[in-house]
Amino acid sequence: VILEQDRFMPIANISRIMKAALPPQAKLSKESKECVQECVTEFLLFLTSEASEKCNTERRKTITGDDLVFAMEQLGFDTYLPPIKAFQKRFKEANKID
Amino acid sequence: KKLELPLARIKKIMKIDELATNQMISSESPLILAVAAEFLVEEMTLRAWIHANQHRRKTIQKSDVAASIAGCEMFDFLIDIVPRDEPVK
Repeated sequence: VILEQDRFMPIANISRIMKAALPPQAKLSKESKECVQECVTEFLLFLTSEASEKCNTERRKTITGDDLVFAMEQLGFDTYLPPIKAFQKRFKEANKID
Repeated sequence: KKLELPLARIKKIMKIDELATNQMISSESPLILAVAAEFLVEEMTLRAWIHANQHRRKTIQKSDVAASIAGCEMFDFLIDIVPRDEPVK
């Protein structure tokens, strides 16, 4: 059972990201924040579903970062990939040291 | 860069997917989604702001977010979440 409050990303965090992207005079209506909150949650599920299906087809049990990068490529989010790949590389290197 | 989105919640949302419920999730997966989701929010917000500005408003409305989705192919997957036929001011 998934609790209602766990079905969406927290709106306070979404709101902070939105405000940080905007000039100081910009204001956000409550409905606009809720709308972005729904969209970002759908985005996570959209990518998860694609990555998860790839794992299933290849008979693997674990969804990896590479599966998600592949999903982003497949689903047209290529423009997000360069910084994400750089991030993934740094994460992998940091984990080697640990 | 500090991540703004909680990883535990991302993992919970991933587990809503029927297949993913029975799969394991590597530790880097929620991190990658957190970064990607931040990009999405930033891009959507800026596109909405441009739309609000064109209508001489300083407050972003839901209709501005809807317009940002309608105006960007990458956001086509959201058409069912934010229907196009909602009244756009």
